[in-house]
This record gives sequence, structure tokens and C-alpha cells, in this order.
Amino acid sequence: MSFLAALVRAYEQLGETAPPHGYANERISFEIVLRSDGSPAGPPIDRRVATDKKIRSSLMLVPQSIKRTSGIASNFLWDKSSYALGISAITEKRSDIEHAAFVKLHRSALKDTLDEGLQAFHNFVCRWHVEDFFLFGWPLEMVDQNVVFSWLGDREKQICIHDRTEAQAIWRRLSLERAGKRAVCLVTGKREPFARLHPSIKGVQGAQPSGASLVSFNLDASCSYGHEQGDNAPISEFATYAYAYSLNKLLETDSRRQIQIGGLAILYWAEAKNAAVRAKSESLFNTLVTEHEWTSDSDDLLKEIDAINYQSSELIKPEGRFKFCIFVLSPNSSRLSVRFFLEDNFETIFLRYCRHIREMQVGPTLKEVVSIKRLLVEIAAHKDASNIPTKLAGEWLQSIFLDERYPLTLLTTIIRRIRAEKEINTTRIGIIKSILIRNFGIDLGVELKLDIFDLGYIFGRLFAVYEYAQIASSDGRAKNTIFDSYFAAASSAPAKIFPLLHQKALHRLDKLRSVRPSTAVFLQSKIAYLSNMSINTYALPLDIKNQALFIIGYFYQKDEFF
Amino acid sequence: MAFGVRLLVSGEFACFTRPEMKVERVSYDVMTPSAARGVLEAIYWTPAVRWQISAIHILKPIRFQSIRRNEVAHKISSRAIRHAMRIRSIESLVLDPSVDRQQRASLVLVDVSYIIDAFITTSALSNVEFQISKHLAIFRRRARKGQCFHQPYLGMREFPARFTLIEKDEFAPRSIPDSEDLGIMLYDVDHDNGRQSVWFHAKLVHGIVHIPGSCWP
Repeated sequence: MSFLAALVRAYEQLGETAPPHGYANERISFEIVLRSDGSPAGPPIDRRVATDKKIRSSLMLVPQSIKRTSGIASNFLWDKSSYALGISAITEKRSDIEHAAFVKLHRSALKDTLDEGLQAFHNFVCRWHVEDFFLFGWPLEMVDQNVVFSWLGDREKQICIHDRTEAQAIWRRLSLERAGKRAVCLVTGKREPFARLHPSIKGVQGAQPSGASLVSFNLDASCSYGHEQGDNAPISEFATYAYAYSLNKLLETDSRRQIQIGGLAILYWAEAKNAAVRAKSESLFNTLVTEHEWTSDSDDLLKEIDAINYQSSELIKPEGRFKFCIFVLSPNSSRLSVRFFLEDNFETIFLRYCRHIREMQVGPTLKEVVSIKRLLVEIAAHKDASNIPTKLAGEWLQSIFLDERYPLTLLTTIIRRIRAEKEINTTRIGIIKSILIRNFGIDLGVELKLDIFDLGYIFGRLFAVYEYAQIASSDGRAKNTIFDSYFAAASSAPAKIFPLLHQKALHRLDKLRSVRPSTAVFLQSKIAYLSNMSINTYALPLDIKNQALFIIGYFYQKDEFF
Repeated sequence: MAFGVRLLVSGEFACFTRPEMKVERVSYDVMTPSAARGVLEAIYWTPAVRWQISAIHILKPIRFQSIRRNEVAHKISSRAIRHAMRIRSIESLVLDPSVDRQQRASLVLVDVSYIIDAFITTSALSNVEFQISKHLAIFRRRARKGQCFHQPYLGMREFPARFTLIEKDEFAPRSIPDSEDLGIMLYDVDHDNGRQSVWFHAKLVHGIVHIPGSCWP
């Protein structure tokens, strides 16, 4: 279960599309063009793009950002305006220290360079004063944004100073110097310089916006044997960069390989050499997890499930076996905690989900597949996604994908939701069914079963008959039936309620007898039959299993009537 | 095995923490050799004894569970302790969990059972005449009686381990049939050389992880 190794493999799978080691995409707003003497050549170029009425900074490939939490550390040949220009909208005085660090880094790195572009930059850092910003009349929108630099002589090539060959060489040298001691990496097994600090992972909702750490040693209590920071667990610079890149890429909003719901970030990816297979399996899984409305993707999913069930899908051919990873994280302020990680054959995972779907099936035919998102929303109060209980959601997902017994808390939560909201829908019935089948081993079919004699089931059916009697005797005009008034009490402790319901039902049957005598007789015989099976047992409150069966029995009996 | 022992260890929870996930703990899938060594040393150890683990058998399916606990963020530093020793007063040694509280989640193993296959080699401090077989005999006697210096634990002290000696001719329980590549795992911490961690590539073969004889670089 080495998720770091799996993430590193995901990065390697990307091949050429991944940025080279040492560079990363960052959001850049402005580009400053410099003349050879270091003075700016005209106003800065606005690098932002307008998308959907919002102006957003564009992504550019720049030397990898240095991790800074509360310390001062400058980036190479780019940074935010407080470092690069010494100006910041925040009134604390740190921008002068930050700019000094920026200047110091570049003066020492570039002092002997013969490259013209870098000489221009060197001159710039030597000459720049904060007041020049206002002298030149540069736009105030630049403040606290990221800026890059380019040399006037490169205008035709449209590259920035950090793209120049010499700059890349210097950056490589700087990275190696910054590299720590060598140790055996616990991900790759090779003896390489290891990372002291680990990069931030951005994009997890609920974590702090500047990014959270998956691997961190920022607490005294987590350092052992006198080691500090990365010494505690040496991971090579390459592996660190690779796993952080993969994670950040997965967490991008449009990656279609993640869903963040209920305090959980669920990431999933395929490990297959064939890119088409990768794409297909990931998009299939995406539909499984995120679809809220019935779309054509869901139709595809259904077809795929059928195909897999009949062993005809190409995704589960024995020769083309590939692994699929599911990684579930949870934010905890500045850290990310792992809820679970699963790495198994795609076939195994998908079949487990198919088992779950089969157990949840309510009607004779599988008409729709409920996505994970909709499932989780059912256990939240008022069907509001922000109310999803995180721990329960995580455990439920784990039990689905690891083929374990469902958490029993799930059953109590669903029953509580039904009682509180007075709503029973097929999804909730499906959930209850799946728990009863898997945890309690009860064989529940997809329709009313006449051979189940568990008390809860019988009482549920009886309740449905009483309700039907009420509806029939009022010619369908009753708006609030006994379901609305008595359901919660009836399903937990029938002893108190059923005698009352029985009396009411008898009155209604009397009323009905004059209008529809055959229905009255039919209902009366049904009541007698069911009551017989539950006689002498009124006194006990129902346990959780029987409370669940009550709901199922009620649902199917009612279904039979209508 | 004349020169080895087999010990059956089990517990309700276990957490063999991955070194890179120290804060929000994540356990390894199986027992690490260093944890196994810890269990054996809790039962019997003298400076002459050096335990070597040869194999770990996994008897129950690997199951994880996420639990959330309150933990502390700081430690009492060794400097503070030395100072307290010097002034002969422990008044200043305070770590108040109610103030230093942090909620952290841990991914732990549930319902574990292992058989540890191990043998003894003697360290440099040994008395040559005191044979290895004598050490083993002492261990076996203590393990049969349930004697230990402190309660053996499965990775963390809050997860105690129950132990039973498996006698020489006794039939040992079967391991799970799974085979898996577990990636690189912690072998142990090299206390002689700056406390660096030492790693090995762990492979689960039919429920048994064979530990290489020596991973020291």
C-alpha cells in the first residue's frame, strides 16, 4: 500500500507531458521586459486571460517554487511583487526584506554570467528601487501578483529569461547545491539527495489555501532520534517532485479524476501503459462517482456494467490487466490525512462495485446506477452535501471498494434520516437492503417476499396495509396518512402504536365495506393474516435489524398495492 | 529450529507507522522487522543478545481502519530533562495535553496476528562461553510463562500484543494465501551509524514476508 510509490509511477506514466524535474506551472500575471542595461522597456505586459467574465492569471512554466511558510526564501527569476519589486499592498514592512533576499540571490547567482539576458537581469536587480514602480506608473493590479521577466533581445522568440539555456543551467546548478545530503530514498530505493521540506499540495477543499502537506514533520512530536524535518524519512528530490506533481494534477478541478465531497477528497487513477485504456477506465469511474443527473455517460456506464458482468468488456480482459488506484484524503488544517488507499486490479475493484449495485437493487431490472455522490448525499441532513458525516462516508466507501461489511452506523443514520424527513426513496431502500444482505445475511429479493417471517418485516407490511385502508376509505383524498403521523413510533416500538392503528383500520374498513366491499374483505383478510403472524409479540421494541426490515416490508407491500 | 524461535503475536489494533507519515499516521501493511524485534526484546534481552528476524507470517487478512485521536504536538526536550537532573527537581518538566492538544487521524491495522521467525546472534559485547542456545532457552522459558520486561506492543504502546510461544514440533497456524509486492519497507534504524533508517524491498509471498539477512549498507 505504498501510495507515494503509486503516485511516482503515475508521474512517470505521463512521460513527455509532465514538466521536467525542477520546473512547475505557476499562475503568472505580468511580464516585465528589460533592456540590456537593466531598465524596464515600457510598461509590463499583462499575461492574464479573460475566461467567463473573470480575469485569471495564466499558467506558465517557471523554475519550481521554493517552499516558504514563515521564512524568507526567494524564487529564481520570478516571484510575487513583494520579492521581485519590493512592493506589496499589505502594510507590514517585510517586502523590503523579501526584496533584499531576491536581490541577494540573483546577485550571487548571476554575478559572473556572460549571457546577455541574464546580465540585463543582473543590472535590473542592482538598479531597481521601490519608488520606480510609481515613477513608471505601473498598474496597481500588479501588486501582490506573480511576475516574470524577459529581455528585449528575446522579443521575437517570445521566451522569458528563465527559459534561456544559460538560465536553465544555472538553475540546475542551484538546485543541486540546495539538495540535501544523500540517503536511500524510501520510495525508489536509490541513494540520492533527499528533500528536506516537502511541497504543498493545493486543491483540497477544507485545507488551508496556501496548500497542505502530505508528508510533514513540523511538530516536535513527530521527529524521532533527533532527526529534523526530512531526515526523519528520506525521500529523494525526484520522488518528492513526482508525487507532488501527480497529486496536484489529480486535484485540478477539471482533471475528472477526483471528487471532493463530505470532507473527503477521493482521487482515482489507472496504471496502464495504454493511454486509451487509462482514459476509458478513468472516465468510467468518474461517471460512477460524480454523476448527479442521468446523462448519456450514465447510459455508457450501465452498458459497461452489463458488459463486465457478462465478461465481454475489453477492460477486464485477462491479458490487459491493469491496476487502478483509489486514494482518499481528508484535510486537517495544514496537513492531509490518508483515509484509505487501494491499489488493485481494475477488474476486482469494478466487480466489487457491481456487487454493491446488485445488493442495492430494488426493482427487478437495473434501471439506473446511483453515483457515489448521490449515495453520500442521502445520508446528509436535508440532503445537503455539506452535512455529510465524513467518517461514515469514508468507512462506507472503504467497505464498498474493499469488499468488507458495511459500517452499522450507516444503517442507523439512514433510518434516522427516513424518520426525520419522512421520505423513503429507492436509493434509501437500496442502501438498507445492501446492509441487510451483506451484514446480516438476509436474503432479500427484489420484490415482496412472502416467506420472510421476521417481526420487523411483518409489522412493516401490516403498516402498509393499514395505510392502504386509510387511503382507500377516504377515496384517495387523505393527504396525511398514518405514515406521516405514526411512522417513527411504529417502526421502533410497535407495541404502543399498533393496537391504536388496528382500531382505526377497523373503523375505516367499516366505512369501506359499504362502498367497496370486495376491497374491504381483501384488506381484512390480509390484516388478519399478518396480525396472526405477529401475535403475542407486540410487547417488544424492535432491534435495529427489525427496524430496517420494517421499512423494507412497508415499501414492498405498498409497492404491491400500487 | 534449534537456533530459532517462533512466536505467535496478536492484537486488536496495530500501527507500524510509516516514517514519512508520522503526523497523520499511516501504518505499513505488515509488521516491520523493527517492530518484531521490539516484541522479542520486550520478552528477553541482554546486551549480548542481538535479535535477527528471518520471516514474518501473516495469519489474518490485512484490514485498515481510520481513527481520530487527540495527541500532543511537543516533546519535553532532552535539554530540559538534563537540567532537571542537574537541579534535582522535576517541577519544570511539564507537558499539559489539555493545552497542547492536536486532533490527528491514524490509519491503523485491525485484528492482526503474526508469527515471528527469529534467531539470535551475539553482539560485540558477548561473553563467548555463554552460548546462543542458552539465550534461546531463556527466551523460550520466559515466553512460555508469559514473562516480559514490559508489555510487548504492535508498533505503538497503546496497542498491546498477546504472545504465545510455538514449540519446536508444534504445528503453526496457516498464513493467508495472498502474495503482494509491498514496496520498500523500514528494516530497522541503524543506531550505530547516526540513527539512519535502513530499508529493504518487502514482498509478501503466500502470506510470508522473508526478511533479508542483512540490509545494513
